[in-house]
Amino acid sequence: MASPIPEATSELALAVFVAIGSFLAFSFFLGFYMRRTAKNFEGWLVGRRDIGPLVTGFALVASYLSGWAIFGNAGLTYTYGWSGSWLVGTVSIMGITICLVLGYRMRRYVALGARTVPEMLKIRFESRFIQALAGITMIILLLVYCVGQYKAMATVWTMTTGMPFHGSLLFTAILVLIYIAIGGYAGTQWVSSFQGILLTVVGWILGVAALIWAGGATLIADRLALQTYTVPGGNTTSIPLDKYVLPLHASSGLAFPGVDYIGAIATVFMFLFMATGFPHNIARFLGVRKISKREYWTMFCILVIGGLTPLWIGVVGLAARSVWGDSLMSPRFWPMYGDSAAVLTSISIGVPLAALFAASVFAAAVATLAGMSMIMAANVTRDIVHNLHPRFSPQKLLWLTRFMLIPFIAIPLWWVFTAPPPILSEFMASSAVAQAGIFFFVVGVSMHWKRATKWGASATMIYGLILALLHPKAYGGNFGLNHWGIWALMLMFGSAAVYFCVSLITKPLPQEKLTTLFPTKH
Amino acid sequence: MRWTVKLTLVVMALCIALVPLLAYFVGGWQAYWGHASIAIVFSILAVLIKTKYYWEEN
Repeated sequence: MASPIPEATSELALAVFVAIGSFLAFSFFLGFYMRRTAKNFEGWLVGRRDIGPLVTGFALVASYLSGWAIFGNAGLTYTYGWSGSWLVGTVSIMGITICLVLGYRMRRYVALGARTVPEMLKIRFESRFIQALAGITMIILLLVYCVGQYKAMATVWTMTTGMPFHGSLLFTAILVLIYIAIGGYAGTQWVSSFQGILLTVVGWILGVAALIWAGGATLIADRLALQTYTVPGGNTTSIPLDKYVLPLHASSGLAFPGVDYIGAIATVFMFLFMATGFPHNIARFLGVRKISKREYWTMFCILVIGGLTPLWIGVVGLAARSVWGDSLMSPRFWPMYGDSAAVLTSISIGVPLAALFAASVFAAAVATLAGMSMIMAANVTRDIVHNLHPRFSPQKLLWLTRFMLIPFIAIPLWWVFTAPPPILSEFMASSAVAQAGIFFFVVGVSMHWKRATKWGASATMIYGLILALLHPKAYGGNFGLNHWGIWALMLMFGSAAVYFCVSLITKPLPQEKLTTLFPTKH
Repeated sequence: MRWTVKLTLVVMALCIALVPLLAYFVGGWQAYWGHASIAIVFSILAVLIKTKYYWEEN
């Protein structure tokens, strides 16, 4: 073994503490400053609609690159070798660009009063029902997504401080509460932009450093070719890691996306639809100002640079596998296993990088958790309560939003506490497929397709939620749906079929009402 | 729809089709970074269509 697996030291713990503390302090000051400029809750949600391309671009990078990208991708490639790269998102730049192309039209809905994605749907379809349904759908899918963020933070804390995993989980939950309490979520666009820059810089540095640390690209590939798959927990197999598919045994192995090319192709479409399908991504365009073509290209360049970060984290996992073999799959590393590859590699390279990486994972995970908790709380208050009872006072709504943060922070925490997912990004992909399949069409396409109807959008959300329950590792097995790729394709293309077919057989809004949303070009 | 847009969309579709083919026939690092390169080509074309033919801010 070229390099021993590092252990936590007091020097490392102190450096991580300082890095995370600095991040919290900076977020607080930025959030505090921006909160002063936002006169009310609505102002906080969309600002003054004066955000430029640089800030919007990096904020979009931050909201897209949550714990899966900056952390979980190393776990994927460490565990599955090249076949893990399908979920790394080597093509994710395609999806994030589609989000840029389709999502920019959100500006039009802000001018018409939308402050959240479900509110945009209410305006698009003139339907309160669809606003409430979108709110409920988002809550269900985002709760699953939050689970991964806790695991990312707790793993980093455990690996760098030596604290037991469950203790780290509780500690990270406290940090999330502190982050929210000090207003880290305020001025979202600016704080997110700062986080986007941090994630991109650290991700690139760690990726390049890991490549050098492991002896270079050729050596990594050569060593990887000699390795076989090991199940989390330590059971070895004779299945080689040298191909882009990993033929795991049926039926449980079929739940892995890289098991064959059906699963692989499904992941490509997942990444095509996913960035637009994430409501927290598309919401980034709510506060953007009118921009020029040159600025649009600038924003695109930022997305390309940021969009390559997940690949660099994937490189870290491959490097770690080539150096340490399957050591991290042993019971000693329960429940983190391959997910500990990135943080351990960063420690091996040096304490300063490890501290920066810890702060980055923390930034990605805590900001996503705080942001998603806020979105879910707003889903309850604005999209359900206020939608059904418009006379509810703003003061009560604000208090209700604060109160609702408690269950939305506690539920995913409890989930990780009782059943931590072995491979973080693989777990999060389940939620990503559902968000991609549902919201790409319901939100992204509806902004551009006049013929879409509220019935088509509603049927898509209901279909997508039912299919989400039929995930191979949920209830799909009871119905013979054991193959992840088939499930994902059924969810995404089934949603598309439902959306277009139901829309075409039902009545759209009258032309005069659509004129505001789809002005004729002159 | 203009023929140039149609042609660009066909090239974009080819980019998507190339992804699994590259993994199957080439593999390794070439496929890994090749996917990213294909994604960048696809994305440039998408932004080109948007800014050249469907720009909304005029």
